[in-house]
Parts: sequence; structure tokens; C-alpha cells
Amino acid sequence: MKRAKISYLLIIFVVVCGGLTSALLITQFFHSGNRNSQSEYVISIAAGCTEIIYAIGAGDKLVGVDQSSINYAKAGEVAFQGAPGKLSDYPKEVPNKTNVGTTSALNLEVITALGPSKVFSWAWATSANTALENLGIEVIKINPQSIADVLNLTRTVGGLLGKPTEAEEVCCEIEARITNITDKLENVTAEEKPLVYYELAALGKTVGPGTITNEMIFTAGGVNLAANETLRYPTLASEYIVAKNPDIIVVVSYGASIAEIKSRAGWGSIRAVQNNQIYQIESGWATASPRLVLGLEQFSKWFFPDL
Amino acid sequence: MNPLNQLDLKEVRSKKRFTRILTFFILLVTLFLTLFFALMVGPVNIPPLTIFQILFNISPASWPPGYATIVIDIRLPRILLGALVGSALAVAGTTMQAIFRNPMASPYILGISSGAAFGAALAFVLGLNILLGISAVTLLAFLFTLLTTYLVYTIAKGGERTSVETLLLTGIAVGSFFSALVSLLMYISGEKLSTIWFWLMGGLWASDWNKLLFITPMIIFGIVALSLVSRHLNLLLMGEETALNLGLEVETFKKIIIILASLITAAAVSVCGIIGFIGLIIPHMMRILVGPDHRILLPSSCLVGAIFLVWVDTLARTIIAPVELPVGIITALFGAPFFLYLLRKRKKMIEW
Repeated sequence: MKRAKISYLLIIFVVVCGGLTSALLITQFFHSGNRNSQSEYVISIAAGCTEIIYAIGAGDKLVGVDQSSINYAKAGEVAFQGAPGKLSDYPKEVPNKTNVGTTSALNLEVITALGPSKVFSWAWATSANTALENLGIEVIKINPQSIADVLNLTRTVGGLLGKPTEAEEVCCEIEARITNITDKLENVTAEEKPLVYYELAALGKTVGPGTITNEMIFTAGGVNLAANETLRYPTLASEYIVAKNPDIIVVVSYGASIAEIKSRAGWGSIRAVQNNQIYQIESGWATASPRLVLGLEQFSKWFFPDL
Repeated sequence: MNPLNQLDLKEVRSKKRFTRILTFFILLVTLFLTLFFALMVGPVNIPPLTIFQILFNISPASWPPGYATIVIDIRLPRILLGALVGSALAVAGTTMQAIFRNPMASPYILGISSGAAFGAALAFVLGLNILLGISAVTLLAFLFTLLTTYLVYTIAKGGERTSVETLLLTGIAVGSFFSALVSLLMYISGEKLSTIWFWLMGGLWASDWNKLLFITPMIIFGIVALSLVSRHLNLLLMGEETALNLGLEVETFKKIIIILASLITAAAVSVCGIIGFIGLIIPHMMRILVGPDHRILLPSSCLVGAIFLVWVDTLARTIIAPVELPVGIITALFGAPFFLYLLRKRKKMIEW
């Protein structure tokens, strides 16, 4: 009998607790917080955009950045030397900004606590963007796919952050430096243009049409080996690369070493290997950011050393 | 049977029932304490008093504006979602192990996880954002999970009887097919690769009230329905023939159980990706601790699954804050050694 009584008491307790909790949850569902932040501060979870914000001298408006923005900064100051605008501040200041996590798993708590007026994010990071918008945060979605897109984005960001003149200066500098490169190509014939194989993290993994690196190779006067593939990031077979016999091999800094490429079976017959035309490029120099101009200048030097 | 023995039997039954209720009660209180503790901790340091004030809306505006959003719109849905998902996976795992009479069975045994992964990857690759008011990733993952279950069941069904072995093998084959499709999508996904990869490892970081509203009815319905038939799961453990002789409509029962378990798994997976381990190990853990009777095994697995996932997710979001670890990594990292410890300590065969 005693046990039965305790049992009933426990059941009643559980029901009461459950009722209270659900009542609490229902009231909370109609709870309206103060969501509209009037702050002038912004967060960038797109590394390319973080660089643009620094290039136009608006770094002081950033309160938070994502992990990859910090990783770029830690890549070393050399990677930022000679970049257009004020990117020399980037490696010093960005690691001290609040880290808001990665694009794949944002730290929503930290972002909310920072109370930004806007978050700059990649358009493809759909789950991050939805989560931020659910919290009532304005998300500026960026999706630069070409050199022109990067210039447009720089102007847009300049407008949003009250630095239109500075943004225009950065764009003019980038355009002038690109013109310098393309001017040299005026008298270059199609036969003189080198065939370039650009390698990413693994053998055969390369850049296809629609990528910014593909456009950079073209702009610097090279012919991309994978320019006519269907995929944006295709993986080519080793023997196909050997048969195509590229004049120049460019490998990204986090990819294979030059010695490793030279030692690959069958690659000894490739012109680039025979003439020692294998180069490593800083990964941040061939992505959608103002630093692409550094990559372009580097490409130009490698493709046409005599011009 | 003399009256004395009958009295004994009554006494034993009442004692058993009392133990069941007590176990359930203790676990429920632990779950409540866990929820409150999890609400207190996070990368942003909010004093416990402020959290109580925010929860009960006492003297609003005495805290920074972002705090209410953090507690109400970020932590609370995430923790509740964690509890629901944990219990759903544990209950689905327990029932799948009973149906298949196989200790290796998990909620994902019918290839469900690959189907869910395909749905989610498709939404990522197509860049779909919101469909019918909820996240497209959630919706597609949910639909493809149900589709996979339907496919597996229809293909495996042969004549009057659906053999458990055929179901298992069909599940593996259909699962591999969808895995291959996921790999294909990942190959052509370009920049979205890391997002897909992270989703596959499972996590609760993007929890919100919409997702909670979407899955709560399904999971609660599924768990309650499965608890109501827990007595029949005991029958099934004695073998399908015996269960049939004891008057259980085995085929219909199996079908209903598979539908219910798949429904709650689909709901869980659609909001948080593929969180492994819980559905496999929690049922075994509870079998060691409370025994094989499903009338206590099912509810206690449910509560322990919830408690476990909330704890693990709290670790996931604080251990290397502000960056998050995928929760799937920690479930196995902490759960496996603990399970092995239990297994060694008991040093006896797990009773079925």
C-alpha cells in the first residue's frame, strides 16, 4: 500500500512538472526580444569579404570573423605584402578579433552577444544564413565568381560601410595593375601562350571553367588545361595530364611539394618538369579577394618571364 | 494455485511496478537537472540568476539585449532538440534491436542514414533555402528518410512473410546506393563540400523553434506509441514463431514498429544530421543496467538517450569554444569507453 501511495505521488509530481514546463515554453514562444540592433559594427564569416573590409580600411568596424579569416591571417605577413589597399593591417589585427566559429557550424551565441548590424556571409552557406536570419540578423550574401565580381563587391562593401572613396581607390589600383599585365600580352600570339596545369590538394584535382583561378590564368595569358571540363573543380587522370604535356605546373601552397610532383611516375616527360617550370602559389592569392592581383602578377612572371 | 502463492505473485508484481516507476522518476529528475545545467553553460558567460530572470521574464531590460535571444532562441531550442533527438534515437535503436533480434541493429540499419544524407546533400547542392516554411535541408532529409524506408520495406517484402534477414540485406544495399549518390553530390559540390561534410557528422548548432515545432509532435507520438506496445516487443524476443503462437499478429506488428521507429529516426536525423552511436549503444547500456524487459527498457533508454545527448552537445559547444566540434565525434569518443567499462564490469552476457 505504501509503495502504491509513493507511486501515485511520483506520477502526480511528474504531471505537475510537465504541465509547468509546457506552460513556460508556451509563454516563451510569444516572448519578443529586442532584436533590431542599431550597432554600426559588422561580422564577416566570408574570408574574402574580411579581406575586402580591411583593404578599404574599415577593419575597425569588424567585431567578429570566422575561423578561416583568422587562418588566412596566420598564413603570414608575406602573403599580404604588396596587396592593394590597406591589407597590411590584416595579419596583425584579425587574429585578435572575436572568433565566431566556422561557416559550417557558426557560434550563434557569440554572434548574438556581439550584436552586429550585418553579417557578411557566402551565398552558398545556406544553413548558416538561415540560422542568422532566424535570429533577426541582416545577412549580406556574397558570391564572387569572377574578377569583375570582386571589384563590384569591393564597391558594394565600401558603400555599406561608409567608405565609398576608399573602395574606389582599391578598385582603381587593382584595375591599373591588371591593365599592366594585359598590356604586355598585346603582341603575344596564341601559340606562345603556355598550357598551364593548376593543381589543388590532390593529384589531378584542378580548377575548371567558372572558377576565379581559371579566369586568372586566362587573364595572365595562359591556357588552363581544364578550361573546357564540365565540372568547376574536376579531377583529371594522371595519364591525361601527361598526354596534354603542360608547359607550366602551378601547385597551391597546401598541395603537393615540387619534389613530389617531379617524382610522380611518368611525369618526367612533361615539359614543365623537364624545364623546371613548377611553381607553388600562396592559396590566398588565387581566390576571390583583392589579393588576386598578387596572384595575377605572379602568374604573369611565370608565364612570360621575358616580358 | 493456492491463495498464498497468488498473494506472492501480486506482491512481486507490485514491487516490480514500483521499481519501474522509481527508475523512471529518478531518470526524469536527472533529465530536468541536465536541461537546467545545459541552459547555464555556453560560450557566452551569462550569470545563472539572469538566466532565471530571462526564463520567467522577471524585470526585463535589466540585462543586455542579446542575452534574451541567446537563452530563449539559441540555447533553449538547442537543448530541447538535443533531448528529443537523443530520446528518439535511443528508442528507435531499442525497438530495431528487438525487431531484428540483432545486437548490431541501430536506427540506421535500414539504410535510413544514407537516404537522409542524400536528401540533405541535394538541398545543399541545389542551394535550396526554405521550403514550406522550414529549412529545405530538414525537409528533404526527412522525406528521403521515409522514402528509403518505404523502398527497403517494399523491396524486401516477399509473399506473406517479410524475413528479417532480407530486410537487413535490402537495407544495406539501398543504403550503399544512396551513399554512392551522396559521394557523387559531394564530388560536384565545390565550395559546399565542407557544409555537407559537417552535416554528415551531425550537430545541433542550427537549432531553432521551427525545427522543434516540426519534430516534436512526430517524436512524442512515436515514442508514446512504441511505449504502449513495449509489452509485445518482449514477446517478439522469444522468436517470431513463439510470438505468433502467443497470439501476436507478427507481420502487422513488425510493420507498425518499423514505420514508427523510422518516423522518429527520420524526424531526429532531419534536424541534426547523422548522430551515430546513441541508437546503438544506449539500448545496450540500459539492458545492462535495468534488464531486458521492454516495459522499463524502452522508457529508460528514452530518458538516458536524452540526458546523454544533452550532455554531449554541451561539451560539443563548449570544449573548444567558440569553434564547435561535431557532436557525433564526442558521442563515440566519450560513450564508447564508458560502454566498454560497463561491459567489462558486468562480465556477463547481455540478456535479451
